Amino acid sequence: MSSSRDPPTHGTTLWVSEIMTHIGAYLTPPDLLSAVCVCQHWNQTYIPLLWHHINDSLYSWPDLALRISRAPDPNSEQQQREETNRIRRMFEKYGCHIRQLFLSKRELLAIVSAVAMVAGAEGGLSSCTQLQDLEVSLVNILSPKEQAESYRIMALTQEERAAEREQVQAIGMPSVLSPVLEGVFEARIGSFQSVTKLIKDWESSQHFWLLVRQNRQGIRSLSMSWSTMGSCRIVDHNFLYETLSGMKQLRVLRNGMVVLGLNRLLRSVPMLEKYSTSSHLIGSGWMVLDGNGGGGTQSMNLKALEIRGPMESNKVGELLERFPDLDRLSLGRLITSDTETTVTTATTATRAGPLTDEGRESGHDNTAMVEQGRLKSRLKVLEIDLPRLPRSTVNGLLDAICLVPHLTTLSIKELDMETATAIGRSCEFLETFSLWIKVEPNPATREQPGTIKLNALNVILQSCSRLKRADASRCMIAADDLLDNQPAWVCQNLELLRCRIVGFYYLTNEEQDAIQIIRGPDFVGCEVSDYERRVLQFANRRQEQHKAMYERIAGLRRLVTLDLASEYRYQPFLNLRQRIETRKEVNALEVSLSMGLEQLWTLGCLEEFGFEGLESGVGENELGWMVKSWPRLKVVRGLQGQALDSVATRLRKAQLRQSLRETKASIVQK
Amino acid sequence: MTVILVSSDNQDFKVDKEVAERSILIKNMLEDVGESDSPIPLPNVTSAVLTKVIEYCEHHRNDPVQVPEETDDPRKRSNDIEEWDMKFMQVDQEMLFEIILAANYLDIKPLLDVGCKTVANIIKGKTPEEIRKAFNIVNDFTPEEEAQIKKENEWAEDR
Repeated sequence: MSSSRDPPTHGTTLWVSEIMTHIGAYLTPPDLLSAVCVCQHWNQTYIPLLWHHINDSLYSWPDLALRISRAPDPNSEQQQREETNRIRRMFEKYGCHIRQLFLSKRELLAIVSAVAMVAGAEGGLSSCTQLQDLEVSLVNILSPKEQAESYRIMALTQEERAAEREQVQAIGMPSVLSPVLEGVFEARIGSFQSVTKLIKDWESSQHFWLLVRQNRQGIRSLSMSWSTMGSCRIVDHNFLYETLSGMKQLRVLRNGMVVLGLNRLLRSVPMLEKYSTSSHLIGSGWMVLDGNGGGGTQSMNLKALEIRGPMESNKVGELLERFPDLDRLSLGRLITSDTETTVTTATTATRAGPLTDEGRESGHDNTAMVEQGRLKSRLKVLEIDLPRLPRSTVNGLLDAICLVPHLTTLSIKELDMETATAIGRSCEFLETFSLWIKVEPNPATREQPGTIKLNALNVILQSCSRLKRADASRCMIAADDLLDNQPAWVCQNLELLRCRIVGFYYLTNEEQDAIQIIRGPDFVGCEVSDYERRVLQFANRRQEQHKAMYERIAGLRRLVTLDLASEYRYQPFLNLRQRIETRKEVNALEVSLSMGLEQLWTLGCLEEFGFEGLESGVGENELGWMVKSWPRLKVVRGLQGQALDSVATRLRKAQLRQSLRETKASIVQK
Repeated sequence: MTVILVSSDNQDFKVDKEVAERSILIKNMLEDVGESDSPIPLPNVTSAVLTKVIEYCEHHRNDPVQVPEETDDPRKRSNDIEEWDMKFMQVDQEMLFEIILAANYLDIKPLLDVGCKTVANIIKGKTPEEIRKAFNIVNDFTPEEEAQIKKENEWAEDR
């Protein structure tokens, strides 16, 4: 191939920027690096793509950062300076292309911020000032010198440390980098902290805020982390609100740095759509932390609110009233209100729910709102990351659920019967239900499988007719609750079901042998002993239970994913013996044709099937049947080891093969 | 109902309306014109390329309309090409480029995507020199310029 020949015509037509950019979207930085070296034209097209998204934890950034942060000996300080200048020139040249910037290295933050502060050539924009998405979350890399310093301080006595601190405070911090930061920060030295670290924090917090201010025209999404502040804190809150209010494009704010008054924040940034905070909202003045009394701000734009810190359960109603257009609410932890009397139960008051023990009045509680019809929330997604619930918090949660009639997605950490009943009654539009951990009473014993009451999830399936996803792989349903005399599942549109069905009658090997004999041809006419009668009864009950369960699932004709989970997937630390013991206790189901798997022929949409049994994984015959009966099947989890080889060849889909192979390793074989 | 598409070299292609409407350009044209039997001229597409494009649209006639994904990451995956599409794209480079350009002109997003993914997969893992060779591109950088560009963007190297 000679380069002197004219390139073919397509060579010039395909490489129009529009299509090249489209192609570039599928390339990662290492490949884009090759692309920018190809020729001038490619360079011009792909440089903006290469620099669009910068994350200093990825690719060779960590190595580059190390070269400028560590100076093992004085001779290399010169080198370090040169390297810093070189990286600075890179940002000066290419920084205008950066739109998304994620920084974790102090030194790089300093460089980028400094570059952004330099006025652009001929009145143009400075480099690094066209960011749309900024997240700075600093990781400390200590130089050997700093390491030694921190060891030295640790070795000091308390008095010595105090004396040193006083000395530092007397000297004071270096002057601020820009007049606009005058009086904004305060540095406080911690007892085990070196002066170097303190000065670093002092500088980093300024670099961060200067970078934010230089980019205030364009930033859409900002993440503020405490790590940028370290031992500094903002003393002039006006600076904060003034900076934020200057950010006209700001829509998403993640705040892990300071306590902000929600009212004032929303007045400063009225267009904010998503706000996430790690700080808590407690106390009577929680909405008006900034001292503004009277009515709170109503925001029509706020769509998603996440509060990771604790929040009083009776404030949920107030919150929803304040933000009627909120789509998504994520709460880290609901706590009982300061005044115990404000804990109320809307269920009691309005829906004659099961909670009749508590029902109290208060000025601003959820019950009153429901009763007065004041609340017009359109909330669709509610996520609550609760730890083990005190009773009053459960009530708060139940209150909250009653307040949001339009809820389509609910994600909670625990589920008990009361909560399940309330959800079933209140959330008629629920489409997605996820459960993080289980609530499990002690599993039943072998002799009395019917005694376990694990039907909380069952209640949801019986009541939420629009449910599409029930993602609760750690939640158990008792087999006896699926028998014919129990209420039917109304969720005919269910596409995903993840749960564990347990409480089946279980036969030991010995008993299985006995059954073989009893049902065999030689047994005709023999007298049945008590033992045999009992075993037979067990076997029949087991069969009945399976039949009822398969029938129930067969009715869910739209299922795409069916994951009957595993008996031990969540106890990987158990050894085989313990697993067998666990299995006996839990009495898991059996996925086999002899138990009635064939009833599931109705699941024509099924793409994924999972069940990791111990003694009864998915056998070869079963797998063959599945492949034949479920034409869209792509993933099977939980095969018996020996089923693998013969079946793999029959399934051409690479994805399935891979999934089968992956599965094999995880299966415990007898 | 069928429509007639006319390629740049004046060949007529009779296709189902449903198939033709995989092209947003044609769909909009048909909507503008309303009920009409008049053939649709496609002066930018040759009959050879149009044959391929129609083959693609026939195969994907029942696909659901693509919903643009909501993602912050502008980078997309290119290793998720379906088996049939992968075979379909096994053509010489000239045809591959023609198909991409036709998909762009006719506004058939899934075809454009799959074409661009195929080109991206050719680029992946190659050195600049190998890329030039693959696409017959002349290097207009001096060795010093190329070295400088590489140095200035060394952060993008895989560690």
